[in-house]
Amino acid sequence: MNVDMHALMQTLQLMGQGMLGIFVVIVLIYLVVLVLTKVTGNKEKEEK
Amino acid sequence: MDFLIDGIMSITWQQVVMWVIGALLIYLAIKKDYEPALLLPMGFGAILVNLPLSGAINQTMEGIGEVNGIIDWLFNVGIEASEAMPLLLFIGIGAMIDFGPLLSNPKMFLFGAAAQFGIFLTITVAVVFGFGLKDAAAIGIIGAADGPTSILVSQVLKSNYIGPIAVAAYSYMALVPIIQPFAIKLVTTKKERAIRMPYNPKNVSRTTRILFPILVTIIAGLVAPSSVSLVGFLMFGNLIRECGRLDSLSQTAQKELANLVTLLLGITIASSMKAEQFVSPTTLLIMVLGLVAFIFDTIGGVLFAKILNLFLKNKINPMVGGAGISAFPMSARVVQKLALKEDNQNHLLMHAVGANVSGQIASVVAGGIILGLVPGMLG
Repeated sequence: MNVDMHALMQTLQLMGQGMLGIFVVIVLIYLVVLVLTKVTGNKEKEEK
Repeated sequence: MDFLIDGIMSITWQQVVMWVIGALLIYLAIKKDYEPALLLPMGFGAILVNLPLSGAINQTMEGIGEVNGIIDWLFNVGIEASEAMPLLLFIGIGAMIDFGPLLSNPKMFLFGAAAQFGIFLTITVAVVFGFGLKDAAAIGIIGAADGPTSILVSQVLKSNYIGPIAVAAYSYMALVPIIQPFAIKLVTTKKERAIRMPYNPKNVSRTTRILFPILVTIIAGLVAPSSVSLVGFLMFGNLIRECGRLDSLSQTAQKELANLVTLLLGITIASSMKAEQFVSPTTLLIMVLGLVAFIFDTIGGVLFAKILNLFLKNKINPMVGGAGISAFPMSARVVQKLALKEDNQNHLLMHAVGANVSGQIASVVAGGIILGLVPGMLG
């Protein structure tokens, strides 16, 4: 089986960048949700 | 009288194979209840486009010239032009999703990300098997476990294998109850599967539910601009649901819109199931690679949970990581069932649902990231 080494290296680069990119987006969303839950949770407590 | 037998005389063995495949998809849809909304139209469409000289697809008629067929027209307009059908379906899907279990238990977000690993591993394996990067990326996206994402990414990348990719994506989504238990048991012990996780959800305010889809779209769009159409339409549907002012639009999106698009999407995909494109050893290889994607998505999510457990005092049941694939809600139910099998008091459903809906977001982000990175690598 002749493997295109250049394309193979590209897929490993894609794996690294791709998984990193997904985690960056997800962690950012996670942090935003934590802030939102805290801020809007506190607001509801004050209103009560 | 020759015109009466022209059709019969033009039958090829490849077309007969496609009739059998079409019949198989219809059988799986009706008898086994495997994703019937997609597999039945795809199966019937496969028969329609593989009848000799079929009027359902574009043909060149003697003395007249090119005549357009309805299925090829639906494909050109509904998928090729701007991926309209998968994106419109996403509005309906977004309107159906309740992000509450995820918002109230936000650490489940991480498992949605981890469970996209199978996509990228499969791209690598596909290249080892001789596919070019463009087609390998389109095959890898089967691991998104999401039909519209798979169709959209393979179409934008102009893959030659949209038909097998769509069949693989929808077939394996239906087979999650068989694939996932196998993959989970490969990499977990009985003791790990029996880990209990108490469920203490935080309160989720209405403001959070409304701001969530808007902020997700902005964040995902800034980091991965190619994902804006996917994420945006999904979140648009969710915003219609959560805003509380558009109940009839939300119901229309969840029911009539989703049903109408689903009905047309399945039969439209058949345009890429013509015998000359579909019947080849490559199709079989793609089906195998799709299975690899699903298995390693599950393994990726489970192993991530096990790695996190090295640092956590309150352990996570690693099966919850496997629920991070986008096949909602089947994956969450699979994890719940496996947990109850090991310990009939261990209810993991709400944790698994959180991870499962996170996978929905992560899979469309993955699709967008692939669309952002791969074209640059092809140049």
